[in-house]
Amino acid sequence: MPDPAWYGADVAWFVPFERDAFRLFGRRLRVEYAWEVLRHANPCAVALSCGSWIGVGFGPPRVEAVPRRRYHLDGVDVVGRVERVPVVIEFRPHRYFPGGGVRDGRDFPVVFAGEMQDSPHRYEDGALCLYYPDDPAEQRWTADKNLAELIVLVQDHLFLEDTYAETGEWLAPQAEHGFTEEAKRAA
Amino acid sequence: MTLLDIPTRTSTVEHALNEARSRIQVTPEELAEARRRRDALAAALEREFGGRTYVNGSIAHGDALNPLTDVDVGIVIPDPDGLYGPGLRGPGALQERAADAIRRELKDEYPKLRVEHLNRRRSILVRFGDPVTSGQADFTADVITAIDNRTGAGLYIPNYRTWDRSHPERHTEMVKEANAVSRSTFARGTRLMKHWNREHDRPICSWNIKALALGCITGPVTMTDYISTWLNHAIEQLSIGETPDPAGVAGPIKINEKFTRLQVVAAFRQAKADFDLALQYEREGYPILALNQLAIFFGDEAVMPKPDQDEVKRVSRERWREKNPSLLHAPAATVSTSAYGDRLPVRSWAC
Repeated sequence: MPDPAWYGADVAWFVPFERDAFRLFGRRLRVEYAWEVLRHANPCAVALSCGSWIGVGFGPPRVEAVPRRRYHLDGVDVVGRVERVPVVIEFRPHRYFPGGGVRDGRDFPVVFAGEMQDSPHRYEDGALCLYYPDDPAEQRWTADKNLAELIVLVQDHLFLEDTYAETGEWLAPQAEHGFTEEAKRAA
Repeated sequence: MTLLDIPTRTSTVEHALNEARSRIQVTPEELAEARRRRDALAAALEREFGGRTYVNGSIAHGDALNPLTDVDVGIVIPDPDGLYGPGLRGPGALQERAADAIRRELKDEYPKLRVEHLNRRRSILVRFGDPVTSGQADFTADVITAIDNRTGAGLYIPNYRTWDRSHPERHTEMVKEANAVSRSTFARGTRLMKHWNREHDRPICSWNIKALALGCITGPVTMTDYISTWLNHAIEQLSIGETPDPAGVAGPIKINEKFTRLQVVAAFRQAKADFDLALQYEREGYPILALNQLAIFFGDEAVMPKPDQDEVKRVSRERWREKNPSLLHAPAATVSTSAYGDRLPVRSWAC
């Protein structure tokens, strides 16, 4: 049974959230409802947003179905590329950041678009690191902004990666990797 | 400039649009051959039925595209005894006579001629078995067997075994008037939007493009203004409902059944975003980015090729640095490479 608090099944959440994107992308954008079956063995492990797993202790074996709300855009134009790049944006109930704790999945979707081996701003699983989770809400994407604004970030991110590959320069502001800024502040 | 002068615009975008237009234009020789075949069909039909013929479609309207693959012609068949029409006899027998007449009169000149009239909604399909544009598989004609509407405006045209109201003669008059008043810029801009439509899964039919243009192109325009005006009008009209028949006789013009109306509007919104960004690049003084964006708008390398992509990337980086001068946090949204809006002032990161 889906968690009644699962925002991805709540029309009051997703209708206003995705409306502008569908108005713009039409049939090029589709939404998929999916379940990921997680088998928690003993000891338990948790998938990190980076794609790796960490053990979190001992517990009884159990199976858990975790809902996903996934948007597929058939392609975005990227300056300097001939072919469009498909984009997948996946919303999960929560997202775990090592060192940064568990965050509300609404504001931290997992975004896949193209590939770049040595990108300074991708997770191990190839997802894009679009913004620093601890920046104030007005300086990062949050779900009250809409899906179309997230797609703008994706297009720019791919352009910035192409630039980085050619020049070694990342043209946009960057935060230090990890949650080191908080650690420094706390120290 | 008088009202009758064609507006000129010496911009990169306008120049590129005119170049694209010349690439999709049909040659005079192809047009002449298509008209010759259409006239041969019309003559055969008039000999069979008497009555009057009319022309319709892209060749009659002056907006044919390369490759030229078909022509439209209709015959208004006299029905002095009032045997045909809604609630009376259907169009089947008239279509059969028309098909036989076409076969009889054109078979000698076109030995591979095939004429299909059964199980078709509106027209008799004539396959000449001989293309007008070299490299094309064939050239075809859609032939309509119509009767006059004795009680209202326009004609009755076939809809399988029954009849629909329509006014194709008035449609052609309206388009010709628009071409005259716009000094042919109506037809030129229509060609560009028809080509865009063809490259984007044909969300609407060619007649719908012209019907929308009749509602917004009322004088001489540049190609840039045609596209901007047409897209704005199409988004506005189709957001409300399907395009009404400009002659006020037939029902609204159907969109491609593979699309919902809102998906059609979305396709036009996206086109408008792409086109507006091309104009923005031009205003900012980045002509190569404007051309690149125009190529994205058309999505057809043969008609609007993308400029050198290395140069595009170099100039895009230049623009990015100029418009987003600081690598520190900006308090507001910053300039993006996207056609869909400004960029949020985020910092890239990795865990």
